[in-house]
Amino acid sequence: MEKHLTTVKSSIKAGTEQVWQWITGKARWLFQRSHWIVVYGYAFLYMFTGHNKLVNMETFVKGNKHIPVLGQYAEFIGWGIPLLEILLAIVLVSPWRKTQRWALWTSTLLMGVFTLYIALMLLFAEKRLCHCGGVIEEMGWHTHLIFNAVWVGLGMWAIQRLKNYTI
Amino acid sequence: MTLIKKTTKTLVLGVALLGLAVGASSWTNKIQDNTWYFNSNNPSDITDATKWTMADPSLSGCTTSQLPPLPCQLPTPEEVDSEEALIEHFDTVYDNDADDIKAAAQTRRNP
Repeated sequence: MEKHLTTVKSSIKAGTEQVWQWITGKARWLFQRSHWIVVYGYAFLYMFTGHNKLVNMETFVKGNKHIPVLGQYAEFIGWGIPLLEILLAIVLVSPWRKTQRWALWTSTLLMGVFTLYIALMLLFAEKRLCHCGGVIEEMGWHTHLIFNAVWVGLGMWAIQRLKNYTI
Repeated sequence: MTLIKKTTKTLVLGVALLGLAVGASSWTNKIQDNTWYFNSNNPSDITDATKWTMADPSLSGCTTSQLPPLPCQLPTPEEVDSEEALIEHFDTVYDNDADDIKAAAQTRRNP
């Protein structure tokens, strides 16, 4: 009876170890590739907001005209930003690693510019205008700032991880 | 062969993701939970939130043409459900610009 109990116990222990090994193995596999989640996340985000701005182009350009200093370039910004976002989204999902790395750099830089714009708006602007596209537009300004800052951080981390990635 | 397979897999995944993003964007554009109706015959009232109502006044002559000077229906997000919220919405989204509000309206009419 005791021998049988010991056998059962050791089987459970071996089973638990196997499950644990499987979980840690999968977690390691996922972590090693987690920067791709950031790359594809950026692609989704830019395609989403770029498409949204293009669809609502008239409102977007008119809104840009009210931005202090940059208002005079409203038309250029109105077409340039969504087209750049869509281009970046396409390049980010391309299968060529070097191009992808360049796109991730540019995406993070662009997100940094957006973050700076929001921070300046929060600090200095009396009337805050945001034509950021879709659901994102409905975030509060502070939430938007945190959201963007997190993406800048993730982008920098992913760039670091992609540096020596050869697969 | 493996390289071709891998490249195709990446391309399919990428195209699917971008398609999903476009779908999500179109979907959020369609979700406009509230509709406000302009209830005045004076174009200078467009930025006045008190001249807007959530109940359809059933005014005639509303078209999708850009030319008529008065807005009819204005779609807004769900949270714009009061006069105060509409004032805020006009201020933050349209900078109280009557032309921008008219341009964002779904339909327009003549006085």
